[in-house]
Amino acid sequence: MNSNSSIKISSDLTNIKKVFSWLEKTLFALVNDKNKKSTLSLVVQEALVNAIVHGNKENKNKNVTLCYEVIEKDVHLKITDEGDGISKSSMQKDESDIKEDDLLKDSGRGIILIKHFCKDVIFDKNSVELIVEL
Amino acid sequence: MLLEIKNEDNQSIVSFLDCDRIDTTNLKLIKEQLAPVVSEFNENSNKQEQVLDFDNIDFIDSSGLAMIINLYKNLSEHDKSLKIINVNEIVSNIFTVTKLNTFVSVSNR
Repeated sequence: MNSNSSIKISSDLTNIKKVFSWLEKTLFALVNDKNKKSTLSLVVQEALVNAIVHGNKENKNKNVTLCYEVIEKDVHLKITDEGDGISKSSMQKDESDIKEDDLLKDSGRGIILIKHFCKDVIFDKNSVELIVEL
Repeated sequence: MLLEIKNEDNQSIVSFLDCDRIDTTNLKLIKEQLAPVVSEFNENSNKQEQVLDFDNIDFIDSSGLAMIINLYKNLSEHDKSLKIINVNEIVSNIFTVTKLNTFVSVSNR
């Protein structure tokens, strides 16, 4: 991916604002459709929280990097952390996994939302690539 | 102040001002402002329905969904109901995917 289109933050949830400020000036400037911008915001938000909280365990000495590249009509966003990687069971989660007993649980929806709103999601050891149609 | 409160008949309506999202970046502030509103609402026997007006909200993340689920549980314990109105297409889709619309009343824009 193009190294000019990347940002690195330390693992503090308050730094997510910095990523969105940067995206507003870069990727989001290319997106005219408000719903599409909201979709991108949602999947980036969920992936950043996963990387900071689950990947790097909010260790501020560890970083999260986001880079993106627009390829034809899609944007490929890669979010990389410095953690041990996501479990196979988490990777495989989708909306069919929300059973009646889980409806009132207050966690476990991030990956389900990412998978629903992305055209494709590619998990690697400690990174996730989100492909979203522009 | 992110929230505006209106009282109408048996409802308390909370609107979000200067805020187009509910996510980790503003959740703490929203929770702090919402807590006394809900507490007062729960103590008022004349009010039955807590309404959240999402007219200004473009998207909500999973931490925002957790806040809504906890709000629903809190209200249910006091025999009150929760309704979310003026929901946009993306948020409506988020509620459908996560099945939140199966237990909270949701109406779209």
